[in-house]
Amino acid sequence: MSIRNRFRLCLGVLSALFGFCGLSAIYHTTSSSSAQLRPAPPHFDAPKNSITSTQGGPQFDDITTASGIDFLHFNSATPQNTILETMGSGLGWIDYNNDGWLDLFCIQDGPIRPSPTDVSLPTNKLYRNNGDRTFADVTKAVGLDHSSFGMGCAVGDFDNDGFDDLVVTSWGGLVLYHNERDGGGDRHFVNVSKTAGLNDPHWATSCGWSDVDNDGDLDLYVCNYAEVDLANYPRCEYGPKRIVFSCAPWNFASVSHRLYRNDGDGKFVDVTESSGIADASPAHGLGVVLTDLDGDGRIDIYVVNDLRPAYLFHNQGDCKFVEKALFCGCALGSSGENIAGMGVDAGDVDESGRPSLFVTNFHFLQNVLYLNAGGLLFHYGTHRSGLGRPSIDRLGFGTVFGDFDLDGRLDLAVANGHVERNASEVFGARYAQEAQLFVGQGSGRFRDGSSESGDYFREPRVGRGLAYADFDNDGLMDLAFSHNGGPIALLHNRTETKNGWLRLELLGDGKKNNRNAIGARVEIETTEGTQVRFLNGGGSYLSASERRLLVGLGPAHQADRITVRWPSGNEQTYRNLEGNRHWRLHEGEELAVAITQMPVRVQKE
Amino acid sequence: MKHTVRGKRSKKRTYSLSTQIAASSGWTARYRNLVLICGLFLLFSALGLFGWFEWRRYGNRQTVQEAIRSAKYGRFSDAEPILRHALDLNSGNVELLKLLALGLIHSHKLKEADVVLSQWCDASLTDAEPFRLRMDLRHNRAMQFKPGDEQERHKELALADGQRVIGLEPNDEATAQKVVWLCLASGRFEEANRICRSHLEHKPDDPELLHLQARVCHSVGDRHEAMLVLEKLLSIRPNFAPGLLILAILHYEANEPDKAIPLLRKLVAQKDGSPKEARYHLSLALAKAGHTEEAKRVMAEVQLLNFERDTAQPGVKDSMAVRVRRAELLFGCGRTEEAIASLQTLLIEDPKNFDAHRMLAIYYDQRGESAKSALHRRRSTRYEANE
Repeated sequence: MSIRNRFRLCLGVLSALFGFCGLSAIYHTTSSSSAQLRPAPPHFDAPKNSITSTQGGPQFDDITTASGIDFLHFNSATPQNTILETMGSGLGWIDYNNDGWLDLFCIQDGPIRPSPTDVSLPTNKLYRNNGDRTFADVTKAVGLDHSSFGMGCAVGDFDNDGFDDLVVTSWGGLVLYHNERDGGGDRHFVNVSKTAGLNDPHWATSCGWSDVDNDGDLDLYVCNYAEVDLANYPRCEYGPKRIVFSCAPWNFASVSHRLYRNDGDGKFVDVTESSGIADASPAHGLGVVLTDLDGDGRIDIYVVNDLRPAYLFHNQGDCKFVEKALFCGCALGSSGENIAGMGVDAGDVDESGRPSLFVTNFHFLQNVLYLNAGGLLFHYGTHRSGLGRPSIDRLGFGTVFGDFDLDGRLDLAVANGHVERNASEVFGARYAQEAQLFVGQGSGRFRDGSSESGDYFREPRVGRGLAYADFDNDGLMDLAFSHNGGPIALLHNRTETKNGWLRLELLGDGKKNNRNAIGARVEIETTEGTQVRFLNGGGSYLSASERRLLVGLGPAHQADRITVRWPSGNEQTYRNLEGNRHWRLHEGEELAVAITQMPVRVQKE
Repeated sequence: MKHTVRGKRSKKRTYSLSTQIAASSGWTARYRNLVLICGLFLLFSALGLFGWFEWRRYGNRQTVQEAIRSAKYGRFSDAEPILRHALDLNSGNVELLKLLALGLIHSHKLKEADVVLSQWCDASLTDAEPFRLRMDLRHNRAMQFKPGDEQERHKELALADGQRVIGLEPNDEATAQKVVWLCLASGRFEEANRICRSHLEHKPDDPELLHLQARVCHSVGDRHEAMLVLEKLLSIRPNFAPGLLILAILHYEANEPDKAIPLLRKLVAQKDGSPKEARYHLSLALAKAGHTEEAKRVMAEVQLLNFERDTAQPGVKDSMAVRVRRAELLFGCGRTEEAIASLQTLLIEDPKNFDAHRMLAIYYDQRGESAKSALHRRRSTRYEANE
């Protein structure tokens, strides 16, 4: 056989073999009853989220750098990871020179164990508002260049001289700065703590001014947190890697908070014992708001404590208080669990005309809204408010109510950030967290508008203090946040809205009523309805917001009637106040005064 | 007929047509067999390849069958590698995925089970079963984490699976209830409300659904609706503890503490449901009704429960502060002897503990022993000032 024929034969045999194999395989496979694969599934449309947000909300721009505010909070972290390092610090808005432009005071920490050789410790700072959205550091010029392990502040004119004074708390006490005229016609601050008789050698945190004894001057409440002995600091470790973390507050003793009664002669008397404040079991206090919670004309004090029941010091008159929070329903969570109260604010969120209370809480515990049901009773309103769920993965600190979009309904801002820098290992949580902005919907309901309110609300930070002020006097409430170990953030409100507004500056007579009118209740009637605003003392966390009331009017162009109930109980009514204006309401004067234009300190081209 | 061919090699050569045909026939004859064999070769090769692939598929199916048999009738530990091998060969085989997932779940290999369940979900998007299993698995996994981002993430994933299940099988009551619970836990009240209402249309007397509906209504402040739902629920199951608790809270909130108190007492006595929550609301109701002393004692019990829970957390030492607080709460609960003993022991270790002195001052003051009270108060004030 030739090679060609052999080749042909091989090809033929191979073909036959392949063919046979193929056919037999086909036979086997088609006759076998093996499991059939499912046909390809049709496309499945995932259920769409029915909740979509189409509404616009407040808009904020972070203008810190452009404003010239270069404050950087001292990072006091040590390997010991003490509880001290993580709690501070706050900030406050104060118009220290009465020029109509809010200045910003920033509180500074420092090293926990400062070295004796360390002469250049960081100080608190005061930034003067130039009136053109920029600020100038005037700390030294006004005499506030002091170092301490600073915590919080409160702004108030304690001597009714027409200029705001400043109290600053710290680990180791508090300092009262009196605002005085300096030699050059400007203002400066003088430490008058000693002569005023203010002495709190503990770890003071939030504080607040209000006239609790109705004598026409401002008294001072100071929260105390924990007694920390650095020499015997407990070592708290977590997990097999023995990660050191800041111990829980339970480990530290707490002392009574302090109430100082202002006797009107520049002196304060510690009335903690006699007033009944000391009768409350000492607790780790962090936030305080002073407001008339039951409408009896006397200022009550609501204090939030860290993992201990909150206090509600019900004012009995004559500077006597009875602590009633547990049985008023505003001390614990909905199931009776402790809340880790950090920051607090009070406002009429449900159009009841009564101040409800909002408390920020620990990570994985919801922030709490206590709706004021009247008669000094509060109902747990977190669920219905929509404020609970978005707070589960945040640890809240500073918080303020404010009508940021001028629609006539209170909105809410919250500063967030964990207390533990090893939060991911120890708590399975993030240390830096995004701040939040909730848009008021009326009837005590809110929606989370954080994602659409500006870049700042999408950036994780270790938020602590928070205070509002319309620092550029444009009729929109701006915000300032402080951060542990980080810079201040100044947020300019640039919400585009046609809603009207009123800025109300209340001035008490300085005799029957404190000049700041802290404790006043204001009812604003427009064609859209009636709003009630309260001029509270304290609020937020370690921070002080401006006192002028910025009231959103919604589509209305004027307030038809404004009724002010001054802290003394006197009522005054003003009619037909035009919108989009700043009105000064002097107690006892029949007519409100329109302030047409703020003086401009620096004219920019 | 002549045909002229122009070319390079033969410019003027001519061929007759017959010569051309003859030449062509010769070529065909020479290559016809070869073409035929090649064609056949290609045909049979293709057939062979097809057969080979089919044979492989058949082999795979046999492997699958074997894996299924071993998974169904053998031990999962033996079957697992076979199932995994079979899955390598048949990555989208739903039956294999199901068997492997179930085996892994029963073997408590939850993380691996999650991966396999996810493959199963991807392979059968219109089948509710894998989503249902994954929802349960993820919820169980969430509960295994301590409260934290991971726990929340798993709850969210479980909720998403649950939502898909009830999207695919709208009549799945059990899953709907789980989804409602997850919605309640995460504050999605609108969704919880919608699901409850839709399922109550089919099962209007289902106690668990009625309870959930009442919970939702109460959470969103719809008191009237909550009362109506509870009325129905408690007519079906009069001793249903969670329903009684909501009813009691509603009475309390409506300023009817006298109606709330017996319900809450009953719940505290039953010791099922949420005894701490019942105690808390009992205390509030008692206070509102003017039973102050009992209210204080019950509230102290609530706080003691909180204290025990909170101090069991990592990072809490048995410090003086913790011991003082425990003594304080024991006083509140009426366990005076325990509290005194605890404080006395503490003061031996730390005689300058101002908190302990303060507490003893209050205690002796309440007993009318003013001298002792004054002594401890002085010490408390002095030591606190020195602190």
